[in-house]
Amino acid sequence: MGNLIFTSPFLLAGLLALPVLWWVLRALPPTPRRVSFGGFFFLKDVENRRETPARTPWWILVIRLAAIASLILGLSGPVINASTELDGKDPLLMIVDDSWPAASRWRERQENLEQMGSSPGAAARPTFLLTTAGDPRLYAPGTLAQSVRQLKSLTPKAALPNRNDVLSLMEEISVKIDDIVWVSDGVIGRKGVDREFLRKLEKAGKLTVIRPSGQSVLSIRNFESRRDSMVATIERIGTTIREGTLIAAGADGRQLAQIPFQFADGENRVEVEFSLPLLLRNDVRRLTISGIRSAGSTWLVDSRNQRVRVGLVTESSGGLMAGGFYLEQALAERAVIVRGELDNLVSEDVSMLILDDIGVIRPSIEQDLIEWLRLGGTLVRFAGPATANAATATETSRAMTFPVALRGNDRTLGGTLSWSEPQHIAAFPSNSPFAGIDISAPVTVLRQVLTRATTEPGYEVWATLEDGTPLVTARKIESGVIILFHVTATPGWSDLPLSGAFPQMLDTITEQAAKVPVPASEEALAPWRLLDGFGQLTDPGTQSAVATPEELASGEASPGLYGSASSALSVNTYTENAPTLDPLGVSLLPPNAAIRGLEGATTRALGPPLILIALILIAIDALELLARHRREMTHSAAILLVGFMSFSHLPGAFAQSTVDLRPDLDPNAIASALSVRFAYVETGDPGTDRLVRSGLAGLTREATRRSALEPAPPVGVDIERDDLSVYPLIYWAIHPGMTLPSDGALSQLETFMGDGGMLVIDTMDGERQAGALETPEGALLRRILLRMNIPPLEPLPADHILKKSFYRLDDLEGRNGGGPVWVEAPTALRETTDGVPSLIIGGRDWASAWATDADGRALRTPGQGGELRREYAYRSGINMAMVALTGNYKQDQVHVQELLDSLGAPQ
Amino acid sequence: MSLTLDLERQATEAASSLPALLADAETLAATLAAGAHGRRRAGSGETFWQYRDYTSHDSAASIDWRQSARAPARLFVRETEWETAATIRLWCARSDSLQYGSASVTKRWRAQVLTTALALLLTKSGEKISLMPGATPAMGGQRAVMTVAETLLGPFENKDDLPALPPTGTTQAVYISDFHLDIERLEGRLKEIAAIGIPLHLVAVSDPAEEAFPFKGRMLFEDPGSSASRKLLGDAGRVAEDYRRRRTAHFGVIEDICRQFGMTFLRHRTDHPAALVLSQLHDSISGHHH
Repeated sequence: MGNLIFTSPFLLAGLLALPVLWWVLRALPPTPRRVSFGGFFFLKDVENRRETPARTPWWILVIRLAAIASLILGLSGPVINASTELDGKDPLLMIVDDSWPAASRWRERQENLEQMGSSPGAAARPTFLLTTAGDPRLYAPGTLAQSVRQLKSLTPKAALPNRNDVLSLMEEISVKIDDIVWVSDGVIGRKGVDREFLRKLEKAGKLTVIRPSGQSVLSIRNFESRRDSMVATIERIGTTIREGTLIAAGADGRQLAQIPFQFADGENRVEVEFSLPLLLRNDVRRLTISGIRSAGSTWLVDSRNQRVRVGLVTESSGGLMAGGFYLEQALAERAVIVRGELDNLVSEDVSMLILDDIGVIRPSIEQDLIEWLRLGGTLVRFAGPATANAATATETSRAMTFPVALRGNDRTLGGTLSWSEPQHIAAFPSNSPFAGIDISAPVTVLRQVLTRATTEPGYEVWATLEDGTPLVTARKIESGVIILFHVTATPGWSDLPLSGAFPQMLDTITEQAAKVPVPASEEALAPWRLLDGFGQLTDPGTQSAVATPEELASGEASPGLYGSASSALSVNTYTENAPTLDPLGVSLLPPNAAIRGLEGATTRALGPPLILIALILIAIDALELLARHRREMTHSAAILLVGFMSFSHLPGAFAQSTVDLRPDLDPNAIASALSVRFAYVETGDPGTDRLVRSGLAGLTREATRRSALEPAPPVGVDIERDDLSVYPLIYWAIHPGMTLPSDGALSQLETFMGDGGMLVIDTMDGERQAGALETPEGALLRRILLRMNIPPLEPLPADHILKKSFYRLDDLEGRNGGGPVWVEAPTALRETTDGVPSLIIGGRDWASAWATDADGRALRTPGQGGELRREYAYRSGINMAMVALTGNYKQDQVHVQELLDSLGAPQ
Repeated sequence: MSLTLDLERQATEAASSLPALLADAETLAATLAAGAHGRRRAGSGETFWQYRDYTSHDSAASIDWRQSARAPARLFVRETEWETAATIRLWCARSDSLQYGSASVTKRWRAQVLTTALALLLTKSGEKISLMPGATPAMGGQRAVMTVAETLLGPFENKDDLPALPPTGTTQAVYISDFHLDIERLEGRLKEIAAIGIPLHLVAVSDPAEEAFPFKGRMLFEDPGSSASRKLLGDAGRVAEDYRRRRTAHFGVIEDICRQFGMTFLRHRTDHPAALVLSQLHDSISGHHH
């Protein structure tokens, strides 16, 4: 225990009040016992003779007094271990190096200053706070305590001290400063300005330097990706550290590798070489040194250090018949494959593009593609029917993205109508990049596209068939290259994709593509994430200064990641370009400096724990009171609890609030969930909507009259927005004029059906469904259903549950009886819905038959068959509603005869 | 609380305690049922009283042929007991002070059980009863008992806490209460009732704690009905004597009035068996018939 200091000692006088409190507590009468008394009538006029004195148990008194005593002590702010080194009256300049070398022991620096600042003799001292890293800043003068608080809110920056600006800022202080505290980061540069800074400090009357005693600065200075391995260069500043561990982490923070390293004696640098499985190599995003949190010991890895990214454009989706499959198999070990559309891939950061039989490229994209080629891209094309077609279309001239002009039709070798024999690939010419690849196993070519005889010069033939026709041609365009395989990437035209030579050929191409440096972006980039001094990536927020390509290349931009999340460019903190740093040894420091280490600086404020103890004691007292007077004290205890919780923001107490991020419930859905009701899809056509609403209202009325089902009035739902899950049955009348629902709405409907809801789709066109003629409603429904995940349907079978859930019916008749009614086929009924159909499609115009006005008068004629038909329509509707609500409960009866038979059989 | 909710709550409470009330009342009445009997003279009742010889005044239809066939040349007429139905009005106090029970049962419950049991006994012996206040026609039979029980448990609107004036056509009136009422107002009302000139029976129900006043220390007393009226006593033990004196004086005055006007005044404590006071009450009602 060091020295104990009270920040507000005058509060201790409150302790004198304790004996008085003791006396008051003794004298107070106890809380009366409350009783309800039947003879109160006779007590009304009774005279109150005498008070009962308090008989509070002694231990409760002790608890109360202890609570008040610890509250007073806690509020008077006792601090243990406060230092008096900075006590004084004169203005003080506090220079704090908030640079990355200070990050690893930043907290200790803060604690050191806090310890000095908490001394009552120093807290009120006028203080200038000056931070040095990046853009040095001179804070408005305040007391030392304020400056220390200010410092506690600062974090180190991923930059080094800018001594130049510091010197000019020191000039700006108008007051004469004779007392300087320098919280150093432990390193010093070799430039003249750094020495000048030290000389300037020397002039101060009193100088205190706070600096770590052992120089513990480790940094990653460089990182490069080689063919089979990766190499990181690690530098130590000062010789204290002898070894360490390098950690390679992925984008999600997962550790991919841990590599120990050791410094040789007298060497300040070590190259750490490590290799990773090829699949993991591209995942490395970040290198750190174990145990050291600073921007300098963090290296951000971007795509420039990664393997080749290959863009693959292929028409077919997958499987053995698709070229993409063979290409991915061949390239998996060498490159990262990105599938996508051509226009997207060109603008993305790929160094090689493979087009699997893409014939025509739209002119605008072609321009981009050629631009990309000029900058060093590698375009690999495979022929195929589309390529042959495209060649026909371009006639004799060469399409810009082919190495040579092609003949329109492909050549077939060895077909039934051909005299020629299938050809083998000839040995690769010596000037071809493929030279040396073993082709001893014969590779047969059945079909290929041919070059035109009158071709412009400048193309290279990298492989030929035995008869000399080119198989792989290439053309260089500035720094890029176009390579054409005259066969498909599938085994349809040749054995090449199946041969061992195929991956080797692609390897060769990939390797060449990897050598071509990816050009830096031409535009200025905004930061996506910036490094702080601790080496953490933070959202740049408002301070997002855009960095020009030059700044990015030279590393002058603030360290961090620039561009978009998918293809970020990294800028690192302490690169080879950065000035060399030396440890700040005692010999470099001015002779007048009082040097102080970072150790042993743990001040401890006793206030918060004491207040916590007081609150706990008060809570115990409250609980005891509660136990004695349970009923009447509940209220007071609640007040105490609230008070206790409001105190919990004190340091040392814990408060955690969780925010509910779920969206608010739709009030309409809440209202609908409270009672069963039918819903209909609002088509947007007022006439149809009104008819369907009154139809469902009529059905509601009849269901209420006839059955135990008593639904609330029907509501219209907007399938684009509303929550459908609260409705058992949704009626959807298809109107030819309605707007097509979005995919989101359709997937909502799918979910509704999947969760057990029933969707009734009525095309209202039953009488017009004749023969194969398709009505507009039917056509519209077809277009909608094609986009929906709909189970297989069948016409309503004879013994379907819909025909016996409430009434026994022969058919689900509506205003008309035309056209079939479709329901889910039994094979498609889902387990989750327990075999209950969730979709009914028909053109029976049920809603019109049901429709009544508010007084129950029918709105439409019932159709052929008169009122009896309307009756059957109601029965159909009630059956549907019963199935929607009770599911397959009645389904059991479908088998009742069989059950009876099987029961009767044994006797 | 809204009115409908309040009504609903009261109805539920009444409905739940109705069977209990009827069961308690029936158990209580059963202990005394043996003691109920007729007028002991021939009359217009239904119970057999005696056979007598036929006289020329009797109609031929009144001859009991079965009895006559047993004795040669004699004709018998079957006479039933004479039973007159008296109209007895019951009043059961509803004031809040009854809502107190230091033991298991509250004064109100005991008063209600007593009222219902009395109604049961009276209707069994053929009397007509009804509950005061109100001039509803008196009824007999099980239905009357049900009406009494339901009215007792149901909501109560009349704010007049004084004993109700019996309507005309009342033969006897029974008042069951704790009589924790302002003595002057009570005296005035009792005199008014006595002026009608019918036999009156008062039953004062009290709680053992009210009689003993076993409280000590600092206490806050509240009226059972409303916690608004309360009294803080520094030491309850000190006022016990004063309390008992006031209470004795109060009931002394009531007793004096009853003696003066010839009313029956019965005291009952909830820790005593209810059968005792019920039999006393029934006896005094029956006594007035003769």
